[in-house]
Amino acid sequence: MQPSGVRARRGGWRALTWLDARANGLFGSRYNPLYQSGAIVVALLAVLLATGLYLLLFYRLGAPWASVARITDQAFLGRWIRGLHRFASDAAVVAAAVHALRMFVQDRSWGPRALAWVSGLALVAAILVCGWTGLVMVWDTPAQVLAMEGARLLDALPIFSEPIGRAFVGERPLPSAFFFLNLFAHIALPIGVGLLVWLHVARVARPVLLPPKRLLWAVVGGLTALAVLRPLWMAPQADLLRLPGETRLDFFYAFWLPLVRGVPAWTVWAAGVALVGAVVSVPLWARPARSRRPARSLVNERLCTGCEQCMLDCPYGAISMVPRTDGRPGLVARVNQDLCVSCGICIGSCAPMGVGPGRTGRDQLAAARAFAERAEIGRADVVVLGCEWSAAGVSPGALAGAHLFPVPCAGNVHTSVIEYLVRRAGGVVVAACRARDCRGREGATWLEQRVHHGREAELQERVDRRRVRIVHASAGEARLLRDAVRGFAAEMAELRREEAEEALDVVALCRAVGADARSEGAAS
Amino acid sequence: MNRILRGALALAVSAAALLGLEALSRYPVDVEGSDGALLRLSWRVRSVRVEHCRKLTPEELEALPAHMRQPERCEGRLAPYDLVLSVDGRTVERSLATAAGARADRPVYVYRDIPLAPGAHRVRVEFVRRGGDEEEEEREEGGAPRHLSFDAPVTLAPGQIALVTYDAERRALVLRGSGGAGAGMAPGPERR
Repeated sequence: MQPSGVRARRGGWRALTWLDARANGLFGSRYNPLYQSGAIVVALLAVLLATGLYLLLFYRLGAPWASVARITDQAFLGRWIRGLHRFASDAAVVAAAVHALRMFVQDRSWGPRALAWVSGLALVAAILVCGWTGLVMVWDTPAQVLAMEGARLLDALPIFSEPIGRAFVGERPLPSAFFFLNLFAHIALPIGVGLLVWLHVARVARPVLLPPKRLLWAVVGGLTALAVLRPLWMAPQADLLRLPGETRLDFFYAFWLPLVRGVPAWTVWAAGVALVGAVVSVPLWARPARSRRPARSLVNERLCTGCEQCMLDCPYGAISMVPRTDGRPGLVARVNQDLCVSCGICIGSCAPMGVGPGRTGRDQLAAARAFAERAEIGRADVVVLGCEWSAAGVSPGALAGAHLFPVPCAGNVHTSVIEYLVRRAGGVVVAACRARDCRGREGATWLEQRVHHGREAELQERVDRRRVRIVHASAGEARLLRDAVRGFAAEMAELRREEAEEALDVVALCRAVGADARSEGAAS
Repeated sequence: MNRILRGALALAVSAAALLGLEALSRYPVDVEGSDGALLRLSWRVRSVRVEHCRKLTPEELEALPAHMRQPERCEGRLAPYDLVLSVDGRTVERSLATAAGARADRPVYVYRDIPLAPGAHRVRVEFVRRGGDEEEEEREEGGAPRHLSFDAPVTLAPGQIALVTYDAERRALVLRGSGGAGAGMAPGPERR
């Protein structure tokens, strides 16, 4: 069963989960670069800032190509710094594309997340324009091609009284003012990028801005090694009185160029506006129908004790503590409906089961009871409490004969439900997504904390931890889940056998004691 | 898969990804056929203003606010130019170049790119103003002549751009860039 919002993006979802599973196998889930795509973009922006500052020291407006050639001639420093700057900018585009694709196929682009989606697109646009201006700054033949094609497209707009393409006819050398404007845009845009990153994570609690250190150094180190071993080259200087002919373009910033050559400018603009419009409006057309949208969380103020756990757990900062209005002392939780994405993680955080998106821990418990009755769960059974975005939700074969109790997110699960199912069944496997791939951001993490580390609302100590297993298996890791469930089922079977051996058969014991007593009496 | 093998495979995949990134950062594209050539017409001239004036009737003056009662109303525009381009005796372009701007009060510009085969060509350009008399020309000091023409053989090497432009000092159309390095910067060698 696939999550409802994903059906329309099935192809992308399948490709992504396949890639995720392969990358988990190679790098481990903690260092899987696909899971850290957003953080990698931020890290690369920092690299670009550092290397850009160095390059700025040597760039000359009056002699752009010559100054960049001098930088490239610095074998021990400038050459690889320039290369790192270029490759980091290319990698930033790739990481941003992966990040956007993830958010789209995982249905994380609408509702309160629409701000992140739109600001993310603005970030991509800023990065692209920054890249274009950076490439033009060199003023080599690729720069000439980019500048002239850009001028051709801009000239189609009714905003200039004369074509700006006339600046590139070769009548006279380009004025330094052109390169100054370019440089100014190239430097000013990163300031905007910083503001956009702040906006991008404004609705996220505890944003992860950088990848784990090992991955960070691997990415930076890998790009540096590439810059050293495969240094950037200097293309011929731009000559406005020569056709560029075959030139080498940076695909990540000039992928559009071969597509628009020879196409009328107005057609390019129409297609571009349509494409941008379609992408920007994803939060509108990708969202589920109103009747199928999940409810936002509500707090039952009568049950709320003001413990603040839901506020601490909410990954989107949608819960705040406000003064009570019922005369009781203390604070009560309140959910900001405009910020709630209905992830349901607050369900699992509330010991008195007083908060949730249309359902609370009580509703979960009732559903678990109904499920257990319906499936006639017994002590010989294993139940999989499966997140519908994990392998449990998408691969029935991964259950290895266990009974599936689906949940929208493993972080939703109230520990009382786990306790109840442990009592009914032989054991419970909670199938969660990988921690960095959780659609609710922190669901898998809080689940671990609640089950094993006493985070409120913690799994009670009376529950036998041998009968609870958390398995992190993304949608493409069915085999991992299957093997884990099989192993767990075998462990539960062994546990049952040990318990059977240890169990006292009182009747047989009394009979044995009575028989002994009778034989002693007869003997005396 | 044991750890060493997995590590080696991860390294190989990472290296392949990096090399792919590097290859895509400089993928070759034949932007404009290097075996072709281009004739470019580009210039900008200040045309003369052609005005038609008439005296306002007493009734029209009466209708205007007192501070706007000019006895004569003149309406005009900058005169356009007819552009005719012939290459090797064949008319390639015949168009009207009008003054730029929303009110047609900015200089007249010409900007055309005509692909040509490399080799020798006879290029003839006629740029003739429509309208405007000598008085108006004297009024518009520094304006372009009424008639600009260019008629000369042009030799184009493969990949070369020949630029026909207006020289304000000589007040004539001139050729730049044909048969050698032009007014742009000299091409540099590819360097690694």
